[in-house]
Amino acid sequence: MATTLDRRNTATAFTTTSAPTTRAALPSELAFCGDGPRNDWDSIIDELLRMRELQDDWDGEGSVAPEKALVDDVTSYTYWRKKANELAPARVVATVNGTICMEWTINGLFIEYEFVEPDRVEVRHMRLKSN
Amino acid sequence: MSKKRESDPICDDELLVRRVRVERFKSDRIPIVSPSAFEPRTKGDSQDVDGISLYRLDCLESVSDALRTISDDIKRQQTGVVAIQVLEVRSIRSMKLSVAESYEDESKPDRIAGHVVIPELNSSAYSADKTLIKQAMLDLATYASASDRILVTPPRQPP
Repeated sequence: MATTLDRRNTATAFTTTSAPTTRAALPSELAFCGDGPRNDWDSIIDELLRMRELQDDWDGEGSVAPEKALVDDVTSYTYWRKKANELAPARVVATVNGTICMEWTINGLFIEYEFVEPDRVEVRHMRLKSN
Repeated sequence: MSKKRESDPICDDELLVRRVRVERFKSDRIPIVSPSAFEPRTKGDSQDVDGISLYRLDCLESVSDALRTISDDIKRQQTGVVAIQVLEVRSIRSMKLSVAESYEDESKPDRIAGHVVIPELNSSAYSADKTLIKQAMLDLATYASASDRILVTPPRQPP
């Protein structure tokens, strides 16, 4: 299942702490109460900061680097979610195609947010093992 | 390591290896290997037009052979190697996958023996139906995350 959220009308959500109007469209399982060692937003932010310095062929295999505007956008979004005390992703990665993916695994469900351009994210829910 | 020739048939019980960047490993997560490790390249000069690349483990002298074509020393050290069985690739339910020979020109100086592709995971197919291929990527990553399938884990790289 994939959902594309167009957040052009909620761009301020990336730079302020106000909730975006698309907040209701986000999966409710990510509304995290409490904190703990696994809710590690800081390592996600560190990874995004590192990602900002990537250049094309960053992996030695010809992959394109994410645009700085996209990384900045995702970083702002991350700060907002951290402040809202939501569940941190298990991982954030730059893909080989210049997009950025956040990943969660919750109750056998794999959830992916793929940030494809500023203000635009594709949300997917997948079964962890379909075999 | 039992050595096979490239001309030998690709058997179900063979292992295929795939290069995976350090950022895509996280040992305390499920799956350990990110599905993005199996994403076809659709941009840049090295697009996966014919499918994503793997190597037949039995055709390599050593696992580290799979990393040989990454010329930059640092980038090579930041790359690990995972394995998937051919049968696992062929039996994924989300979509029909296969393994095809894609042997490189023998005159190529940095040639790695046993190059194969998963043709269905190509750049055009990914662009056309990303959601379908994402499920297959997740399934492959789950197989590759088994402890005996992570053959080379790179150290965490400095920022």
